[in-house]
Amino acid sequence: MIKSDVIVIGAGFAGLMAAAVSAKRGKKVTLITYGSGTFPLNSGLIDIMAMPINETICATPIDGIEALPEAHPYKKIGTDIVANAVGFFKELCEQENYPYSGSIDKHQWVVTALGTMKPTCLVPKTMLGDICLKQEELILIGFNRLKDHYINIMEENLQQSLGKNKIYTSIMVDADIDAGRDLSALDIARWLNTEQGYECCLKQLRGVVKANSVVILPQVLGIKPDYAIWDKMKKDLQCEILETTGLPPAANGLRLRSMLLSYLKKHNVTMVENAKVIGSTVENQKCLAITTQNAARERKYQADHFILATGGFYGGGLQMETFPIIKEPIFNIPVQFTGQDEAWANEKLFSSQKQPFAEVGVLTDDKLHPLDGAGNCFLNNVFVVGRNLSGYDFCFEQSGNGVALVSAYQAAMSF
Amino acid sequence: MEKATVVVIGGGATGVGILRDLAMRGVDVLLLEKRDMVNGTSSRYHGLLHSGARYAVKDQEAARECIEENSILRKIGKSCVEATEGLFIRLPEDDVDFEGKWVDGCKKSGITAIPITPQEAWQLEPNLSHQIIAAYRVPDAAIDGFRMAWQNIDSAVRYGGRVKTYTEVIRIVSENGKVIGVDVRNYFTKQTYFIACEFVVNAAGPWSGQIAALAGLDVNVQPDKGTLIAFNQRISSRIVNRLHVPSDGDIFVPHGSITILGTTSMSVKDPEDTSSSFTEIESLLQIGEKTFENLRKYRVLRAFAGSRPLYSASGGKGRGASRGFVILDHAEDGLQGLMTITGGKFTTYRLMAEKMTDIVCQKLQVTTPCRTAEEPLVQEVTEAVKMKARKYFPAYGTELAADRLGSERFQRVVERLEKNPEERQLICECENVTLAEIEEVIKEGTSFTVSDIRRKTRMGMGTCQGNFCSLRSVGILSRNESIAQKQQSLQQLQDFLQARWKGIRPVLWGNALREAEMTRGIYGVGLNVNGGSPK
Repeated sequence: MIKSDVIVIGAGFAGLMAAAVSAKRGKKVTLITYGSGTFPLNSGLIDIMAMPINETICATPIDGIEALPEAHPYKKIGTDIVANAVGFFKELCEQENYPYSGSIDKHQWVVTALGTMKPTCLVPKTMLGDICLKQEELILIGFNRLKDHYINIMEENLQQSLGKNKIYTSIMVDADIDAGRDLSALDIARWLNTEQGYECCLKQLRGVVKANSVVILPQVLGIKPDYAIWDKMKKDLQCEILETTGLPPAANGLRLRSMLLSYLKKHNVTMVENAKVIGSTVENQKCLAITTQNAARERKYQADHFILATGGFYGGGLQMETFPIIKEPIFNIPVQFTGQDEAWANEKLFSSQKQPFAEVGVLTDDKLHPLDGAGNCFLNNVFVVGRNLSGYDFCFEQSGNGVALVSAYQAAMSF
Repeated sequence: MEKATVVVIGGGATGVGILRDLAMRGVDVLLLEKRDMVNGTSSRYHGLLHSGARYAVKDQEAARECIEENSILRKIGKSCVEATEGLFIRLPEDDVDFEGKWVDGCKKSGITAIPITPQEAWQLEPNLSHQIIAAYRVPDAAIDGFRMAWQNIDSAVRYGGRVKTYTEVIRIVSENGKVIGVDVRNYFTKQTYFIACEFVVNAAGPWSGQIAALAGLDVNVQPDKGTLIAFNQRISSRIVNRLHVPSDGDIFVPHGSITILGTTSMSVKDPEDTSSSFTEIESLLQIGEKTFENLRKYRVLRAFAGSRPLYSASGGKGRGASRGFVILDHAEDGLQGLMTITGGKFTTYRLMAEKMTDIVCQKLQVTTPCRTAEEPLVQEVTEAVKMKARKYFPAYGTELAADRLGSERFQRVVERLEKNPEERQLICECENVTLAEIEEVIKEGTSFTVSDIRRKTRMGMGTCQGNFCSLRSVGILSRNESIAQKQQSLQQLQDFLQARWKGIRPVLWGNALREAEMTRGIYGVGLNVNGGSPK
C-alpha cells in the first residue's frame, strides 16, 4: 500500500484548504471525502470575525481577533498566521482566475436574501455590497416560480439598513425553464450559463434597468468559479450587478468548492470519494492508518500525518446521541461539555451570548494536536481543524469559514 | 356599534364547540380569541381521544362520558380521528390489585377492554417492552386537535357564527347587575372598542379565572402544566397506556408519522408558561423507556407544553383535582348574563358545549334542539375531486391535504392549483404544503403570523422544523398588504424561528442538534436575521 505524507479527512472548506496548503508545500496528499461540508449552505463568503465578545461589531476583523479570549482557536494560532492564511487563500483564488476581494483590515458588507446587510471578510466580487451605499437606484430582481427569493422582504429590510432615500425598483423575470419541479436558484444559475437563457433574461432587463443603478439578484450568475456572466451583464446593462446570499443550495458556495477542487487536481491531490472513515489504528499516541467504508468494502489508508476536518454536529465530526455524551467517532478524542444541563443552550436561538453547544469541540495545543481530558497530547501526528475545534461560535462571531481557513493553514504548515 | 347576542371568550375546543352549537341553533354568536385560534390547551396535549379507560377506576362518570363522546366524534369528525385503538399494559412494578379494579371499572363504565397475552401484545406492537405482565385492547383513538377545532369553526361559519382572532377581552361591561357587552383590544393595532351583547360565555380554559376576574368574580381554576415530547417516527401503531394509577409519562399516542409521549403535571401560576426544561424531558424519557426499551434510539422532534384548566371549589391541585367539567352561572354571584365553563378534557368538549348551550338557549328562550352529535363537521372530499387533485399534489400529498382542509377549502385549493401553476410550488416539503394552500388560508383573514399559518396547514411542523419554509412563508405573508402593515418581516421571521427553538432547546441532542446547527448556519450566518447596517 502506498503511504501518503498526509491524509486529510473531510471535504468541507477546512479539509479542502488543508489539502491545498499541504499540496502546495509539495507533500503527498490523500483527501478522503464523504460529504461536501457546508458549501451548499454558505454563500461562498469567508467570514473572519465580526462579533468577538458581544453584540457589538468590532472595528475590523483583525481588531476583533485581538479582543478574543485566549482559548479561541485564532488566539492559539496567532495573528501572523491569520494574515498568512488569508494571503494564501487570496493567492490561490488569483491563480484560479476567480479572485476574492477583502482583507482583515476592513469588513466587507454583503446583502442577504432578507435584505439585511452582513459583515464578512473575503468576498467574491459579485457580492461586494458596499456599492449599494454609493449608488442611488437599486433594482431588485426576482424570478417567477423561484420560491427561495422574496424581493418584497428585501426591499422592506434594505430600507431599514440603507435608508429610505434610495430609489427601489422591483422586476420579476420569467425563466423559460421546464424543470418538471419547483425551481431553485441553481436551476436559474445553470439557465444563465446557457446563451439562450442569458439572452432571455437580458431581454427582460434591458430597457427597464437604468444605467448606473445596482441590479441585485439571487445567486444565479452561473455555476462556474469565474466572473464571465457577471462581467458580461455589467457591460450589457451598463450598471452594477450584485448577488445576495441565499437559502441552500447556494451557487456561490458551490463555485468556491469547484475552484478549490480544481486547484487540488492541479496539485496532484489524491481524492477518495464517498468513503466514510469509520475508525483508526493507533499505537503509542500515533495514528498509523485510518479505515474507510464505502458501498463495496472496507479499506485502510496509511500516512505520516492526519488532518481531521470532519466538521461539528452538522457534519458528523462530533456526535451526541444522548445528552451529554459527545463522541468524536474516528479517533475517539475526548470531548466534554462541563456545564449544567440547562446551560447547554441559551433560551434565545439568536441570543446576546454565544451558544454553549456551539463552542463545544476538541481541545488542542497551539499546533492543533488534540488533547486528552488532562491536557496532554492525545495523538501526536493528528491535527484537528475547522468546526471540530472548541472555543468558538461560528454563527455568533460570524467566523466559521475563517477559523476553518486559518486552522487548516496552521495544521498543514505544522509538519 | 358591533354586537352579538352571545359572546364566547376563548378559541379552544370548548369555545369552538359552543360557537358551533349556538350557531346551529340559530343564535347570533361571536367568538373572541386574544391570539390565534387553537393555540392554547387544545393544541398542546397528546391528541388522545380517550376511550375512558384511563378514568375507569377513579371517575366512572367521566369514563362513561368519554366512551360516549369517543363514538360520536369518530362519526362527526372522521378526518380528525385516526382509529388506532389503544393498549393498556401492566409492567412488573405496576400494582396488581389496580388491574382488578380497572377491569371492573371498565365493565361498569361500558368500555370494552379485551384481555390479550403478552405474546399477542408483542405481535401487535413489536417495540413494546418484554417485561409486560398483562395487556388489554381498548377503543382509544388518536385525534387531531387543530383540525377538530378548525372544522368546528368551518361548520359554525356556515351557520352564521363569527370569529375574531387577536381580539382580547379587557373588560366585561355590566349595567344594573346585568352584562351589556365587552371592551376588547386588538393585539396588533392596540385599538380598543366595545362589543354589545346579552350573554358572555367564559370558555377560556386555564385563563378562565383571569376572565372572571375582569368582572370582579373569583373562579378557582388552577393552570396545570403538562410537558410532552414529539418523536419523528411512529413507535407503535396503537396508543399505549400504562395500566396503573394515572401518572406522568405513561401515554404514547401515534399521529400520522410521529408519536407523542406525555405528560407531566405541574401547577403553574401563569397559563402562558409553556416552557419545558431538560429535567422534565429527562424524567419523561426515563418513564417512557419502561414502555419502549429502545425509546432513546428514536429521533425527538421537539418538546411542547400546555396548561390544563383544573377547577376546584376547594383548591385541589394536580392529578388529585377533578378532570370533570363545571358550569358556573354568575347570576348566583349577582351578575346576570355571564357564565363560566371550565375543567373537562378534549374528548368531552362537544358534550361540554352541548350542556353550556342548553343553558344559554333556555335563558334566550330558544327551543331548537342540539344536533352537534349527528351532523358531520365537514363534508367528505369526493373521490372525483381527489382524482383531479392528484395531478398537482406530490404522491401522498392529496390524502393529507384532503383530510386537513375538508371538502370546501380543498376544492378551492385544487381550483387554484388548476388555474395558477405558480401556486403549485411546495413551500413546505416536509408536510407537503403548497403555495395555493397558504394563499387560501391567508385569504380567510384570520392568519397574521407564520405560526398562525403553521397551525392551519402544518407548514414547518415536519422533520426540518421550518429550516427552509420559514423564509418562504414570511416572504409570502409579507406580499399580503394587510399583514405586512401589522408586523415587520424580520420580526415575523425571528418570532417564528424562536417559537420553533423553544421546543427544540430542551431536546438538543442527536439530529435535533444537527438541525439546530443548520438553522444557525442558514438564518444566522447566511441571512443575518439579526440585521445589521454598515452605517
